Amino acid sequence: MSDALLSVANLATGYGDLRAVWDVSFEARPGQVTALLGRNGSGKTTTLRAVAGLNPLHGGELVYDGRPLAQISAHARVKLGISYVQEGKRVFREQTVQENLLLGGYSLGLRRRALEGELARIHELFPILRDKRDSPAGSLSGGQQQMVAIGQALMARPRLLMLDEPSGGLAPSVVAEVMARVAELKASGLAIVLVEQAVEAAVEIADHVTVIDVGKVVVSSPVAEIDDLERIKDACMGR
Amino acid sequence: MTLIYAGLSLGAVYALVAIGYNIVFVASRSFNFAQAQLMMIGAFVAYAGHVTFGLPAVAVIVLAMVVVMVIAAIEERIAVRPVADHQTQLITTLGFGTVLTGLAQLIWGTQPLEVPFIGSKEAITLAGGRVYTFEIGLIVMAVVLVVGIHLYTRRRLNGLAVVAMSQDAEAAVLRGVNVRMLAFSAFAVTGLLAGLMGFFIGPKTFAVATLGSALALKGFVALAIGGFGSFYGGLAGGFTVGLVEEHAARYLGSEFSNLSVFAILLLVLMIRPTGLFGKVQERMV
Repeated sequence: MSDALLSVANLATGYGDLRAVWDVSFEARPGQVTALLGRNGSGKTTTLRAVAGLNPLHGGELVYDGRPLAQISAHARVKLGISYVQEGKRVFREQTVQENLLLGGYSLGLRRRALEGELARIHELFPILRDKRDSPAGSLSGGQQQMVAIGQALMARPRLLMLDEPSGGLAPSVVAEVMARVAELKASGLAIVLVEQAVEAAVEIADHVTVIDVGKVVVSSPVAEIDDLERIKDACMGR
Repeated sequence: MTLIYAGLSLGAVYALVAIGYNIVFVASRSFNFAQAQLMMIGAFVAYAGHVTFGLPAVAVIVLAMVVVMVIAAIEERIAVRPVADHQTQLITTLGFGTVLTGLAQLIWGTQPLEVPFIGSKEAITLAGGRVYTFEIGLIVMAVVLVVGIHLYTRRRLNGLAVVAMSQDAEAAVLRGVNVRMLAFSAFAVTGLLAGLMGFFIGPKTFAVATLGSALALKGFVALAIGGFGSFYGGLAGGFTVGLVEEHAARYLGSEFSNLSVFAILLLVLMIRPTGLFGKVQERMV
């Protein structure tokens, strides 16, 4: 029996009737990072959106913790422990950092005071967010906004964390810091699905790599078995 | 002072309409153009409760709130939810408002009906001006509602979620917010408030089928002056419209009251296109 927390089998999905992903399969396991790589428009984000429940399932199967996800709405999937950090640092820009983080725990159904107790967990991971707690999230730097976005997702106590290009638009030093935090989360036992353009940074912390091109898997391999990174890079370029 | 009290109480009526618009706008970035008609129904139900059925005041308030809430919930299900885009919702909610106006005419006729108020019917002297107790009630209600909504959206988790929805509904879904349910609840709450407001505005405006269209326009102007999405803005806009209308009617003549209101609107929008309290919406691309 598979020890996968999330199993995606022959996924077909898209936007309304328009299909963008034809046949994608991968798994996510606790304490491991599964990297989804590929060039722009290959279908990585669409795949994550389908797992999160934002895009319709045209075919294939999504199974989370032994339960099919097809009939479960997006907001209910968060309650099950699926947290998705979208690309582009989608924080609530007019609300404060603290309010953003509290909203992250909305699915827990706790009272505000109880949720405030949960903030310590996030502040430990991203101490800067404690200092910026009363600042509007939209006023923060790109890296800090990414921390807010990840912190929001973690407030929901997820078992599966999906990160869509967390390094996008960030300075190299900030990328290194964000990736270091992702590695910590992996060590804590979270199952992580990481979509990245930065192949080397992703492979460094990933346990399994799946390369998608034109909505189909073209490479799927444990990182330990990758002897030629150029082959992965070529696949990501569609060659 | 009497003129100021009259302006503030009239402004409170417009502010209450603007608050209703704002609740739906903040929750779903759409306008419920039947909001003023919901208040009109509230005034008629208050009349029916008081005069037709002879119910006690508390029962009248509860009846008005429940009836209008149910109507608002029906509106959400048939005129808002099935319609995909916000532009079309403007038409469908306007249509729903027109249906409500027609129904009110069928049931209660076209003549204005006087809605009694629970307090004193005599004007009292306050700080050198004459004011009716129901006018004080209107002003207090508008201020209390705005402060209450402000506290709700800053201190309660569901309030934070409503504000978050207005900024990015998809991101709110990904935090576990049932956006559809909250948007429906916002509609139902505006109905609840419209029923309550109908009880309070009825004594000032009377219950009349054309009340909705009269309030809808001025309520919208109050919102535009104050800034879309801002509750304090809606309050300030309402008071501005009421005060300008009363002063223009007194000093320039009643034919200048509407003209003056729209002149102020143009002036405010020329200086601050987002309204007095409105913010420019940022959008990440």
